[in-house]
Amino acid sequence: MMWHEEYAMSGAPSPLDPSFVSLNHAGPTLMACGTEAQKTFHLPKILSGETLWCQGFSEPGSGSDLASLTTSGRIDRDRLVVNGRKIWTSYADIADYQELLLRTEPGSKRNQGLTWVICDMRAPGISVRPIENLAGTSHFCEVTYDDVSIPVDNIVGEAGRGWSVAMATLGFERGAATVTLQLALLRKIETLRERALACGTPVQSSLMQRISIARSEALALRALTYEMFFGTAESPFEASIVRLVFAELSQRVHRIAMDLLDARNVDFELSEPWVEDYLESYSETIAGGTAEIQRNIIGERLLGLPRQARP
Amino acid sequence: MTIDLDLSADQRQVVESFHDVLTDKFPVSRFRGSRGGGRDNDGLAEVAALGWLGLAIDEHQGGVGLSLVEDVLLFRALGRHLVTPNVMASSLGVHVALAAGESSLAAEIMKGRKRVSLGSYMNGLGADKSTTALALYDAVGADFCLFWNTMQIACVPMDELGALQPARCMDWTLSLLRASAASKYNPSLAADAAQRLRRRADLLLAAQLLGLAEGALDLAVDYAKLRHQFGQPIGSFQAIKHRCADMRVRAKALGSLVLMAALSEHEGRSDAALQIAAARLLASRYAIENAASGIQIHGAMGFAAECDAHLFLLRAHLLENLGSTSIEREVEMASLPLMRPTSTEHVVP
Repeated sequence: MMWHEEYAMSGAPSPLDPSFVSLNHAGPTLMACGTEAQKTFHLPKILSGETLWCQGFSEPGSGSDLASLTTSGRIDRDRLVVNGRKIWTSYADIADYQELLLRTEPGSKRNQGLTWVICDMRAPGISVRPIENLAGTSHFCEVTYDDVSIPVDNIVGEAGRGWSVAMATLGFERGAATVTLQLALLRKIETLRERALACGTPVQSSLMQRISIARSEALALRALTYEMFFGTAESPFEASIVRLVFAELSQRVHRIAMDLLDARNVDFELSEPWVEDYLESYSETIAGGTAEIQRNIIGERLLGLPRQARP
Repeated sequence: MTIDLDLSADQRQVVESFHDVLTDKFPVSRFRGSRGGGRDNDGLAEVAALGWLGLAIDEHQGGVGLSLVEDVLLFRALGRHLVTPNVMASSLGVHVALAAGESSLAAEIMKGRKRVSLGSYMNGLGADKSTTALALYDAVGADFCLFWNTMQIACVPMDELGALQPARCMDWTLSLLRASAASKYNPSLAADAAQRLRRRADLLLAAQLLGLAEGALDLAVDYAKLRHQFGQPIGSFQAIKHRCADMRVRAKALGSLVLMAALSEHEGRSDAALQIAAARLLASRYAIENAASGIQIHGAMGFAAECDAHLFLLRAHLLENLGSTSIEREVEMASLPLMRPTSTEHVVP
């Protein structure tokens, strides 16, 4: 936690770089659920930055409804033969390994019969197509698997029990790295506040009001996160509150930046890096579970409200 | 120095005892069928008898000897149960009297023998700036009136205030008196003591507003589980569920911030003023937003006086401008520098 605080306050680059998945997803998942051989082989390489990982959960037909995924892994003696498609896979074009969630029991329903497996991204049969995003950059990709062969030794946790491993992975996503992101956001608010005051924005103005509220909310978010890490959380689903508050606050802060930049905000160079960050912030309420899914989780898991009818 | 945001076993027990007593003596349902203010005025005596007015006063001064953190937890519970704000006025009155060196007065207030009511400046749009008007809540029969602004905190004898005029209170569970504040009153507190007590007042107020936000949430969630339309509980519809989720998010975020602010102030950390300012700013906003959502979730019933949901809104509006206006809070938040804890008081796991 101290490292993350210092990292963020030093103004170092965002942790949402190509190493995010290896350090915050794959590493912790292997530590919790991997075999000794998997840990011995992969963890040192993850820590040194020698290997990069990408995620392979979402599919064209399975977004918010992840448990409906269909990419299959047919077990053939000591190999898994994989066919299907994954999408929104950040940095699949440069990653060495992928955390891949497959349906390995034909005919199984929902979150039964799934398996979490380590996929070598250089295996024959894998093709990667980068997808340009609305900010004009392309760090995410669509990955197609055509009879890709993966050794069964690469299965993490039990075959058929991949759902619980995947939930552990998503739990780590809400880990200490979020502190870095939060503090980077707090830094941005401070920058906006100082710039707004420096260019003569009246303290009694709607812009300063929005900055004051955002600042207070960033402090609340930090208190909330400390409580989650250092206190006894009432429920693991409280992570959804942290995620939702961060995502929506991030978007509000970048909107303030756009207003402060006024007409310069159409010029990428003059408004570096705010416009790009503003456009990227639209992913915050979608990636890792949409804001709507987070609200469902808060409503159903934390407040005990009845679930909607589901298949 | 570490910040431990987890309540200790003792603190949890203390909170439980607050709720047990309040649920028994001050259920929110007690206002039903009893329109007319001042009904809760006697609550002050009951609270004094429990020793709560001196909860954070040293034992050798006649108090219970707990800290500001327990006081904040108490006021959160009092807010949730809509207990008269005179409890806050009296609790703060004890601290003001002690800071002014009047220990016998402090003891009288603590025992409930001298009553302190709460006052709020009325200096909004259209106010006559030549006189300072005060709104006094549940002040009938009070001996003192406590009020504060962004500079000072004062506990003034009622007879030093100008003519008192009864008025109709928006929060109908309380009575309202209008007063023109005595200009001759000159606060005698040292500047640092006044600043410390102002921070305490803002913190206890934020805690009460947090209690309102939580009370409104609980009421709305219970109703969303109970009320059926289209053959299912309305809470199964995302339109209602997401509203409830947002109420929970606000209550939780504010709860963490208020606790963090209380710990920072208790431990004398350099960022305490900023944490309290943030908590105070969000508390008014979130209490009102949660109360408003609570009414909407109750549908037409929420608009009816017999439904408790609106009581949280009325009380939130009554408390929202105590000590500062929303503009003053926003200006303060825009001006305060961001304090990083120094390395010796860095947060560590």
